[in-house]
Amino acid sequence: MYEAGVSVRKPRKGEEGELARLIYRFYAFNEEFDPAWALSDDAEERATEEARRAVEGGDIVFVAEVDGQIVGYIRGYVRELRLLKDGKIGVITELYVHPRFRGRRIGALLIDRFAEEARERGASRIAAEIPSSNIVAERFYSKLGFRNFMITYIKEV
Amino acid sequence: MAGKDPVSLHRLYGGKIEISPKVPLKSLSDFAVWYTPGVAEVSLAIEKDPDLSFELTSRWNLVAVISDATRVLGLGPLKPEAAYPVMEGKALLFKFLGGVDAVPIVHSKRKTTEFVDLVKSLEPSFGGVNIEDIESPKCFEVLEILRRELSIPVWHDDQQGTAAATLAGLINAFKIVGKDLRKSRIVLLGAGAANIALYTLLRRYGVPASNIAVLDRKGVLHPDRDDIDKLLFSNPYKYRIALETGGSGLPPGAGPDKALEGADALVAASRPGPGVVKPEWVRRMSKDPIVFALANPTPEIWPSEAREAGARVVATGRSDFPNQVNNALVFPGVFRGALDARARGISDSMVIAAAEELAAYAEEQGLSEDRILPQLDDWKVHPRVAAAVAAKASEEGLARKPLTYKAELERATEIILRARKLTSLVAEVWGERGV
Repeated sequence: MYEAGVSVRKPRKGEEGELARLIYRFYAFNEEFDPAWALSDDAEERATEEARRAVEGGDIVFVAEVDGQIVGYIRGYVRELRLLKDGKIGVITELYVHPRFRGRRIGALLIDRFAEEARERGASRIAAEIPSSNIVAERFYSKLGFRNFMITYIKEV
Repeated sequence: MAGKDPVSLHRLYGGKIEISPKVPLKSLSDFAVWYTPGVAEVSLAIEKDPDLSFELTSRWNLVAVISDATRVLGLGPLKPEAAYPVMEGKALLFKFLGGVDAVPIVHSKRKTTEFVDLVKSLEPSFGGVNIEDIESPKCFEVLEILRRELSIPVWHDDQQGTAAATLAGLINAFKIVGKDLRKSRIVLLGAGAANIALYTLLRRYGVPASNIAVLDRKGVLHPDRDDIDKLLFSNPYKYRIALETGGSGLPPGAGPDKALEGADALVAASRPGPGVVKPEWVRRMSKDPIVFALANPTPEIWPSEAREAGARVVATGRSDFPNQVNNALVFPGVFRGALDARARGISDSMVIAAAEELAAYAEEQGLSEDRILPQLDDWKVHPRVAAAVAAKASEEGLARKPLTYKAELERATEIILRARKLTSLVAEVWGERGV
């Protein structure tokens, strides 16, 4: 059941500012999970650049709009493991919904739209990357039927 | 005895409680009934029907007072041993006020899961569990899980006890000022155990979320706060309040000065004052404001200051001012009623029933600005609360042994009078002699 009044679509020119704020919040949110997620000093400017790239296209990006306001976004790409039978996977790298609009299944709606686009681009699966200690995200994806697939190990060199 | 050195007194008596027999023992041969071989029959009966343990053993009246010692009184984390005298004191109150046998238990399991597992494995020994002196926000999670997974009453006084006593006070304070509690603006200053529990209770009582502003040190809990995503992990309870209330119409970052503008009631349960709540904030509240300043040992604002600033009804946590909001008005009766009805738990409606009964009892004795709650030294308050709680548990289908209000009022009165008689017997026979 989706709350009425939410529309999910590609971001448009002129929306870079709003989108940049959400991108920044997504990164700031993840910062606490691992030192490797520490934000750069100019993270806010870079968020604006990222938003510009997102509007230009290439990656899979969708935004959720409520009452003319952008309240959430999803971003990812299609990864190809070429030796596999069904090697194309739509990978969600960023997903954020503004706290004031949570609990309305906007995240699920964004994922549905992402999956649709990934399928159009030849993927038969979608995946999500999350920091390993983000138990809230883990619960969220599990509830939506995702299962544990790969683990990323990291070390300083 | 008050005024004497507490350490010497504790040493004199070697602690405060003991276990004594309640069956008439004449000779050792009686043990053939109370112990082996006779007791085997009792064991086999309970083996077939574990609920019989509430009939055939002392379990029906036995409560664990259990702490991990992570927030003892206002002293912060202590060694478990150091928390014991506090738990023992609570056990003494349980017996004296509620006729409940309580066992102090302190332990070193400080992780939520370990704490919960420990209590769960002890469940068969007890008729109820009172968790005590646990740090926030762990206390919310421990209580939430135990309430869900145990089928006996579970209680955390710093949450439910304080919230119920506060709600009782608010109900009567609003009667005095002639406003509708459910349609008023209420500001909760401090987002610790007491106020987070009060928030939940007010919601259950029917106050809309948007009428309640909850503030911590950083200001109002608000979905637009910078640390809102961090709260999702560090304190999901504050996070939920921020989202539900939407910051109560205040701008993000609003502090108590802003939040109190036009508010009808303030419940401060934050940190010891004075000076935490400023008189000029009270001046900006609506007409006939209600101010509860509950920090101990010193309220956030002195009652005289609050009054001068226009507060119509003032309450504190202290016995030397009028209107003492005290858990001890609540927990003895709540447990008495829940135990007597063999309740499977203590629901929020049972807590509200206790608060309403407290309010009603105080009203019967005559309401005034300085009498919104029953007096702590009036023992009759506890059977009343017990009766209301047992009746509510029965109505909700939570009672293994349903009881009417009247039946429980009689039963609780009898049990509590027996406990008081026992206590005075000890004083009569042994006086102030140590052990």
